[in-house]
Amino acid sequence: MKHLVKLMIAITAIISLQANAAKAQLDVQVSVAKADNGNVNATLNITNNGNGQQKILGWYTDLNEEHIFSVKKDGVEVDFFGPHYKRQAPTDKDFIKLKSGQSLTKTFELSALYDMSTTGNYEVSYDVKSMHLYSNKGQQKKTERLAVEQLSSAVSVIWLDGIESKGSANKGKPGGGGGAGDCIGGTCFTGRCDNGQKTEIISALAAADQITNNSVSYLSSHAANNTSARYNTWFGDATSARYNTAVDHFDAINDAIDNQPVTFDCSCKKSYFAYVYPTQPYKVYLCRAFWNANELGTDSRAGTIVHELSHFNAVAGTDDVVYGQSGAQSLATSNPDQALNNADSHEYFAENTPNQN
Amino acid sequence: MFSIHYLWIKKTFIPLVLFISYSSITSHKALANMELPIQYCSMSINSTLLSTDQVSLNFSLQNPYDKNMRLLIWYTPFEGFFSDLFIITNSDTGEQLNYQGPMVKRLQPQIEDYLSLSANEISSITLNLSLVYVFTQGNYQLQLKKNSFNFEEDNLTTFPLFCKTPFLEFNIK
Repeated sequence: MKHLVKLMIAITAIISLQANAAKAQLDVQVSVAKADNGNVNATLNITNNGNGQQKILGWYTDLNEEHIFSVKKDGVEVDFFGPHYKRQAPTDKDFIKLKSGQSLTKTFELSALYDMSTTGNYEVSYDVKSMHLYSNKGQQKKTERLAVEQLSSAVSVIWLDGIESKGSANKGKPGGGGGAGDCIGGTCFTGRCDNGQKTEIISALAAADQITNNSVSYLSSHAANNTSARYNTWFGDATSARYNTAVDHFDAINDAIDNQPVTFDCSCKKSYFAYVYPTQPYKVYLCRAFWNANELGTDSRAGTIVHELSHFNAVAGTDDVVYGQSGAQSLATSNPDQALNNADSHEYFAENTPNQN
Repeated sequence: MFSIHYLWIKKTFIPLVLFISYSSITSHKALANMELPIQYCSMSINSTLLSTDQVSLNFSLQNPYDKNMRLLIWYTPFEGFFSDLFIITNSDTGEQLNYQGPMVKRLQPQIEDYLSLSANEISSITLNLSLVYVFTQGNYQLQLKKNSFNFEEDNLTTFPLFCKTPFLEFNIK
């Protein structure tokens, strides 16, 4: 009896699969290509090769709406960082209609939504299972309503070279070595950073490390009674208390870069450089101006990272007293204590552009 | 309180006057003084829904010009919490509340950083202060931190105006 029930279920399943197979007239193809900056673009093509019109639920044609691609690295499924929406049952207007012979082509950047930052062989295919793939089943019989429809493509394969963390910026960090989450050598990413952005962030962080090391060595080779133009321009007159504050601040910034789990978030689309919540170390939100900035120099990517790290209460707890070089210079003259509380003053001291001894 | 405001105005005045061409400003006599009368900018706390998790502040500003202007929303309530907008003091302890929201490094404002206002249009926004300031039960005093607002015409001439907002007191039970 038990076997009979199983057999019946199996037969029902086969019938329903066949019914759907007969109905599906869509051919799906996926091709993947690597861009120069390391981004991975997948082009999805869905063609109606049947005689009649065919419908497909719109959100299953859009990676920004649903998890439509299966991505495997060396045979292991890669986590999807994109959205999972809870939706209501679809209505007719949610379906895209394809006439006989008509096709739909869309390209999606994959590395922002799947972790594709490590070296390996990646297999990408379109693979969707849904109870509502082809039609709004509201009017249909229960057995048909509950049947799961599936549409998939052949696998497209691409070899990717991983993004390496260079220099000493990430040594000894917790969570390093491509472990849990979307991290490279101890630097983590949220908010859909794509491979191109991850590469640029890793490089900017190495540059931030370089200018911070330079600041630390300046401070250790000078003293409160032996400052030079570089210190005086950005922090004004030195007392031993003030000088020690500068030393503490740059040691803490250096420690954050070298030893703390810094996370960069790429979701901000505003005109700003970047922002942080001072009470929430060590997460830095990067915005549009950051991506347009040079890596080094005044108001650079490296300097912006120094600026933002200095804001964390766990680092230097700085404020934005004034913005810009001329404001920071005036502040150094008029109020050296406030200059040591000003994030831009730290940034400009570290950037040291134009160069001063 | 008035005397403190007055001093501030006096200090701010001189540079502001230099920026403004009188002929561009229409009608209102008050604008010649660069200080908007109180009805142009209002600020209130919703006292019916006041708790440690819900401190709703409504801010509104009227375009004082008889023509379309745009307002730079940076460091104003219209930007939402991307800077420390308010000075909030616990009257019982005398301590100022620490701002817990984001601190932003900026470059040049872009088109989306402006709010377009037609002639004499009023714009309002409601903010829940408890998102970025930690409140406990007690009495509070609140002021807007930055009282100047930069209006611009399409030709990018800037008109900074001082907006006298009220000094609010409220109690959280």
